[in-house]
Amino acid sequence: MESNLELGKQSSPLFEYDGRVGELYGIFLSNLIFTILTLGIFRFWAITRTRRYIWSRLRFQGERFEYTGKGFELFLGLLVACAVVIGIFLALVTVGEILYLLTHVKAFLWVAIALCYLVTAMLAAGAYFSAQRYRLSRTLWCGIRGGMSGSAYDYGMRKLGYGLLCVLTLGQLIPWATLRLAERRINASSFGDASFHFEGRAGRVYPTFLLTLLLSLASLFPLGLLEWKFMSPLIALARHGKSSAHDALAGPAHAHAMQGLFLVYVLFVVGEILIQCFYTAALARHITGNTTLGGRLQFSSRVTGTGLLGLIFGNLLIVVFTLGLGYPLALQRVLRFLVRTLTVQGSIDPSVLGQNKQDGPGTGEGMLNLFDHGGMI
Amino acid sequence: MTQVAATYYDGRSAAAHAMTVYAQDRELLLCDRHGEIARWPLSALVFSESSPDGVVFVSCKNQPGRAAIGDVDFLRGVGMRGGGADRFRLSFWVALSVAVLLAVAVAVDRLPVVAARLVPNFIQSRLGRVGEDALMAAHHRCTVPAGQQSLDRLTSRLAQAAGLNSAPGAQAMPIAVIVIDDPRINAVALPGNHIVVMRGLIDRVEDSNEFAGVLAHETAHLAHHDPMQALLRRIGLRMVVTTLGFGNGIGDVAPLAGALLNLSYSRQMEDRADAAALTYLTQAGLRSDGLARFFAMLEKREDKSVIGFLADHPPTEQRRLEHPGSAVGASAMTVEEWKALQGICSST
Repeated sequence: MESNLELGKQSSPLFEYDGRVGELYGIFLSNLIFTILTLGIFRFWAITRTRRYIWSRLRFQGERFEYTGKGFELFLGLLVACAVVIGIFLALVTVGEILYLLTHVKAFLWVAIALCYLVTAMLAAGAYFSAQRYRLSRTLWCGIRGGMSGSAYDYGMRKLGYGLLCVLTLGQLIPWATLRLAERRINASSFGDASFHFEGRAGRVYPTFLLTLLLSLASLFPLGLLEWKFMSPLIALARHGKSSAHDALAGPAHAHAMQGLFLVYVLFVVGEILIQCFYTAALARHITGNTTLGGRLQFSSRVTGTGLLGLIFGNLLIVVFTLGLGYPLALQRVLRFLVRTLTVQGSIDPSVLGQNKQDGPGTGEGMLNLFDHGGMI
Repeated sequence: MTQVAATYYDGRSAAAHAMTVYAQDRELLLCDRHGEIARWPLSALVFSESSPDGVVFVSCKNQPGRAAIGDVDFLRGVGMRGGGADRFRLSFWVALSVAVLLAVAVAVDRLPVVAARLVPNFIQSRLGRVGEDALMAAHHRCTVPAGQQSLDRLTSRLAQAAGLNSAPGAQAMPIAVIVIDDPRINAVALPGNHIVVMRGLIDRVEDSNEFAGVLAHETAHLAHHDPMQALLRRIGLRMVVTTLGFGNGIGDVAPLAGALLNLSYSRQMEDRADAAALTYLTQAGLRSDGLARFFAMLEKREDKSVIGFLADHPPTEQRRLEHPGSAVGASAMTVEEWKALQGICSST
């Protein structure tokens, strides 16, 4: 399958990026103002403007990318997604109600509601697949666009099924499920007439995964102790009975406990993200390193756990301490990081790269915007 | 006719073709060495984001090809706007922002007025009872029958004048008025045509006409749906604040009863209720100078502990001068009726 790949060739950076923070700020600030003034409607145009800028600053083999998506397509995508979900709910509930009225079997009502939940979960799970289809179809390089085959519903069903398996195996199948889903997404994707190909082996990332899991569990002990320290005054108070000094002490103790709970929660979430950096990096190296495009490009990633840790921890500090106004700075760091770590072997001859056969969806990312925040770019 | 060199991608392969692009007669003409490749109307051109070195991809709607052109003056000449061909339409979004904010302002201002009339009677009654119960939790209700009868008689005459007894359809709802053993000088109108009078009001007014003035004022609030409107305004505002994330979350939503007892009316609502009160009194054949005298009494009080009725913005003096009323007409109650009402809280 990789017959005409020239192995042993020196790997070079996949992309070049020459975007500037100042320009990102210009886009970010005007986006922020108009998103607030239009009560959020501008969001879709804001995302599109940011993408247009970033795509135009990324080069592959010296040629710039072009983003051809439109804000209106994202806006319409959300409206369509809302209509589809409401329509499915109404249909299911109506059918359930009719069957109930005909047979007086109450189970039909419960089945209808359960199906509503299932459909919601499936659509949410498939949202990333259809979003990737939209983004690829709106990404142009030398006039050639990307594309994606396959069904988002099929992907969603699989993701749900894998999720169930992961729960049943107490998480031990997570690396396996993650790679199978990555295979689904990547092997369905193409750029022009060249297909992406990825075959993963969960065994390669499992040791890092297990270590991460154990470290996460271990981190619960100090957090638990901290939680106990905050809660103990309240518990002691409760033990002494309600009557004595109820008003004077219970209030501060309660506030103290609530603040403690919040702090422990924040520490848990942040700690979890940072601990997972090593696994995420291993996963990224494995997936990228085993992905090829059209048998001509062999990708690889030089991302390391510590590198990712520095990126994420730094960005957390930047965004939190600027109350979100440091976002363009964090975005710039992410892009530079990606460009620094992604490498490629081989090259594509533009004259033999043909156009993608798929037309691409008319609207985009509706389900993702409906069920997920969808991110800012 | 201007011309510029360009790199053309035909959309069939990624190969780059050298091309010369001419602008003429509202059209863009693309030619290679052999001749014309494409003709694009200027009105259908689409411009990409400009690269740092000023190169812009120009394409035509529904056409697969695109030309990379690096000459800004040429691009401006064929209709590119802004420095980076940014299709961001500033004027459109400014206009939309203004429209959205205006719509919100109008909705915040007008929606409670419309919605207050649409709330079904049974919900209004239930809300009124929630308010009553909250008031009666601290002070028990006064129930001497003779006093209640005097009160009901006067209330009924005022409700008649306000059209609350004979209003067509669903909005016909008699006023339910009670007295509670609360020393404060106040009366509260609640949704569902409930009025709660505090004993302090009956104790401190000079005569039944002053009392009738206050009762007529509260009746006017009910006729205008003011309590429901104020409640919706308050709840609505709270909802907006919570949605936008300005509230601090836990325990922020005020209990309904608290909201009901602290409804505040705008200056306009109070003014309208004062004016309507005098009209009702006159229509009922009663003298209408009681309200002004009540205000005069409030002004003379040393301590300003009077809540509710006084707390709202129109200064009492101004309200007194604007609505003096008339001494023509019957007294609101007979001496016996007024005595009975004054004794409504006396324990048997």
